Amino acid sequence: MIDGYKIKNEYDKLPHGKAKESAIKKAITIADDADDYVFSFIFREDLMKEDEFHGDSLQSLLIFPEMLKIFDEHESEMAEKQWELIWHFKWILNDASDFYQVSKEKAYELFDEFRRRCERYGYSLRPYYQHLYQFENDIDKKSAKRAYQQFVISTRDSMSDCYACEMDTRVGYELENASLSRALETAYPILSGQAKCGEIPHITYKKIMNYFYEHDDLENAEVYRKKCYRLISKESSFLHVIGDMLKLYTLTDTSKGIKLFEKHLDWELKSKNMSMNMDFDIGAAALFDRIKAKKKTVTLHLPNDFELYREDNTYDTEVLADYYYKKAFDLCNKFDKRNGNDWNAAKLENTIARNSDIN
Amino acid sequence: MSEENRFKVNLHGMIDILANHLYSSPDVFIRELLQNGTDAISARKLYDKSFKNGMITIEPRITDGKKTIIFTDNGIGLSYNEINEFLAVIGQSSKRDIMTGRISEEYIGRFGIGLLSCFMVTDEIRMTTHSAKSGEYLEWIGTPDGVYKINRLDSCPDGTTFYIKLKEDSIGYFEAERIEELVRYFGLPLPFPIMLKTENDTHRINTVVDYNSNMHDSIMEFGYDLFGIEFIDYIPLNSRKGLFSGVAYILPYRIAPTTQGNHRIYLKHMLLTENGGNLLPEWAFFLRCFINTNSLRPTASREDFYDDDMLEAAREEIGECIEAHLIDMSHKNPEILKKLVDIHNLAIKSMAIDNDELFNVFIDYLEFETTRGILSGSNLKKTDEPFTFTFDVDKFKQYSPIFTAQEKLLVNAGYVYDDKLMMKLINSAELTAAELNEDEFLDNLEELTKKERDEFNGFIDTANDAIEAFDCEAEIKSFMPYELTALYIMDEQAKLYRQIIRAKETTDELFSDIYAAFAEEIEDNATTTLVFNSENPLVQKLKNISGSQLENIIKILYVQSLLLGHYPLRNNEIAIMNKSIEGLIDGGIVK
Repeated sequence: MIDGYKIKNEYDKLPHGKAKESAIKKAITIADDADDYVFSFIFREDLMKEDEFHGDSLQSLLIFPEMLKIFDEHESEMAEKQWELIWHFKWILNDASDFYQVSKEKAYELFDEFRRRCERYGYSLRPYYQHLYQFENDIDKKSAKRAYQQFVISTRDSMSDCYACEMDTRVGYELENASLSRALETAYPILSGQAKCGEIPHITYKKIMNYFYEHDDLENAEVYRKKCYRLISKESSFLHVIGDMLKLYTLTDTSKGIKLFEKHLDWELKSKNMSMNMDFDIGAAALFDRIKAKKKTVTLHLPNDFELYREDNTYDTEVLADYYYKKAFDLCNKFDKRNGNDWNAAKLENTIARNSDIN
Repeated sequence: MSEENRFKVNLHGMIDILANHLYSSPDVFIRELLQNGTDAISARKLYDKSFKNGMITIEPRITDGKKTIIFTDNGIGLSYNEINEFLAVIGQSSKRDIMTGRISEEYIGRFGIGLLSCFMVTDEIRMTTHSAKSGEYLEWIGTPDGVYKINRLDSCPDGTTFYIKLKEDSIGYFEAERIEELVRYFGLPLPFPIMLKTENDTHRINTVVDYNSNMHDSIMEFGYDLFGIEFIDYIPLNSRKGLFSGVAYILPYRIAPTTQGNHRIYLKHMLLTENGGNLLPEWAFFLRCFINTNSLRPTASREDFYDDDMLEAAREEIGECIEAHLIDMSHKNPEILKKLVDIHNLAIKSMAIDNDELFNVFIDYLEFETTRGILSGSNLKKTDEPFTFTFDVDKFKQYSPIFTAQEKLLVNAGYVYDDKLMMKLINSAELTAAELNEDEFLDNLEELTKKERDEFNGFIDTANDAIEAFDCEAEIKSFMPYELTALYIMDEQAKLYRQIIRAKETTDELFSDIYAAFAEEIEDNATTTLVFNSENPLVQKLKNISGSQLENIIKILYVQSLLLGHYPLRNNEIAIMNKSIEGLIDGGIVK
């Protein structure tokens, strides 16, 4: 037997990032080599958490089936880990949305498996419907609404997302389907700092920022951008939020947009999360589309692994605009193909079209 | 027909809720009494502008044979009507303005339930009060069953006095040291004297050092008294906008970045939280702070600050105070700065990443692991030769012997924050450095002459046949150190591809199909190479053998190279290595 908690305490002390991820991977090797299935499971839980929130969610998608396998092989001995297993499964449901490579059919199979396990272990289907709503909201609004209704009437239990996350889901739904005032009323505990977690209020701020952006209230959008940015500026798992902020800066302050792009491009280069990359690319495409009308070149200090990297730091805005448009277009089409609609492609076109209104 | 009824509230049950759920410990009765006393003094100041000598006195004394805490403030006091109105109705605060219904910002307590917390430690609260407004002298006695009585007195001290006869399970609060500790904890910065009166002595227990003065030793001593730690140094925290004041102490030992507690953060001079998470910059984990603010808003639960623009401004300013002080320290006290960097390496690195000025201050002191031992930022700045760095600790370990043998400099930027610092260092000092690129590295290894290559043709053909099943190609080059038999080189796409295939092989159909879609997308762009070292004595011998014996050895060398590169093995690789070893043993036995 290994002294798993000692190993865990060691890596728990590290700040999030590559070094911590690497330490947890080493811990997994130690547990696997010692056939210590409990710690093989626990260390993988931690790796998933690290990857999901501070690293690369594709890694998380690759790790989860190993957890599932360890659990199923020792189901009776690991009964007390049921909750952890299902909790981590929820993240995989999110990942199904984030990767166009996961076909719609396979995604629904994942949801079915999640549902089966919830029923088998006696958990409420509330998180199942909550995540189904989020997945279907990109695919079919009618089904999404049905899932949402089931989510709100299902019983809360220990498997439910935290209050803040659930509230945020409701805020998102109300912004889209009810009214701003209703959403803000629901969001009050979040906005007043009473309900919070690792992702909330960040994501709620982002949703409200986007609402104001969509409704052309750029002043209020900026208020929420500022609140949001402070919370997400160091977490690469919020890359998609940077994309949304680039869209906003495209209309309000392209100089700040360029700085934001320059600062966070590195996140995109390292990200394998396709949905987040798409959002970043849409933002960058819009930003450079606007800038190209004003300037032929811009000076940018970009990482040398950037495909268009230039040693002289001088970049042609037309080339950047074209590059990001193509990247965004490609990803939008891939997601749209998976989702069976044209919503992302339309989003890209609409975002860029706003530049011609303002120019 | 409808009937209007009222809920009945069981006061005993209510107190149980307070004791066991709302309040973390009975200690808070001291906080609530301090809060009431403070508000009473504020109210008297508002009522009588000439009143300046607010004071609270606490005396542990035996009364009627019982250990009693006598808690006196010389504040506004309560009239008969006010007692009936406020002490009799739970949830009604005496601090509400009767005309407007609002509670003045001067007051700390707002919910009118604080006094109930005393029932956690006593079965009876006796209060005497002299109202500055009505001039009445009154006595109020209340018990946890909700019964109270009011008597008129001929005289009693100014303000309000509470007599708390401690229950048997609470007599620990009778100790003067305990009272002093709790008062300092909850209300150390209160701006008027809090006196502790014992049989032999009366002394002030809430003295705060002037942390804006130059009294270094006193301020350090204050830090020790507060936290029980001998700190390295301190940083004064003063808001230009008047949002906060206080002092931050630098811890003398390393601490996990996730630690946020153990500060003393006061709102209007009363403790609000020990958790600095909301108010302090996240990198400030190497500090213990004592801060008072009068401007920020608390959340309803009074456990933290309301997240508004004011809080953000305060947080930014605290960050600026710390940064400015550290920059100043780099000029005036570089030895302490060096000590700080040695101990709080991680915190310093995290600060330096986002702040150019701090980066310039600290980078010379920060250290990196290299193939020439530990080198500081200052050493790297001075180096004229181009160097290579890697963000991957395992790659550093794998390539170190090669770089060392070739007398080239490789820097490990794979530890926490080192990746970003390395990029900043290279850009700011305009160093010639490049990230380790395994493809380029392979191209730069010395090619063999045609004649030498021909000697290895048969070997390479067999090697390619042996490792084809692993989507890997064999190559032959000449490189130092000669002890190294082979080097497994894999680009980023290939790493991911390998991981996906490995996962696909070990999972069920559902995930396997999902992974297949990922693998298909990157398959064509993934390249892996096993580069044999033509100068290695074993490889030299191997070129002279052939057949299954050579294939078995190559498969073993392939797996060995993977292990040297710290790559997790795929199922079939373990099986193949085992089979190859068996084949060799078998061959040996037959001979």
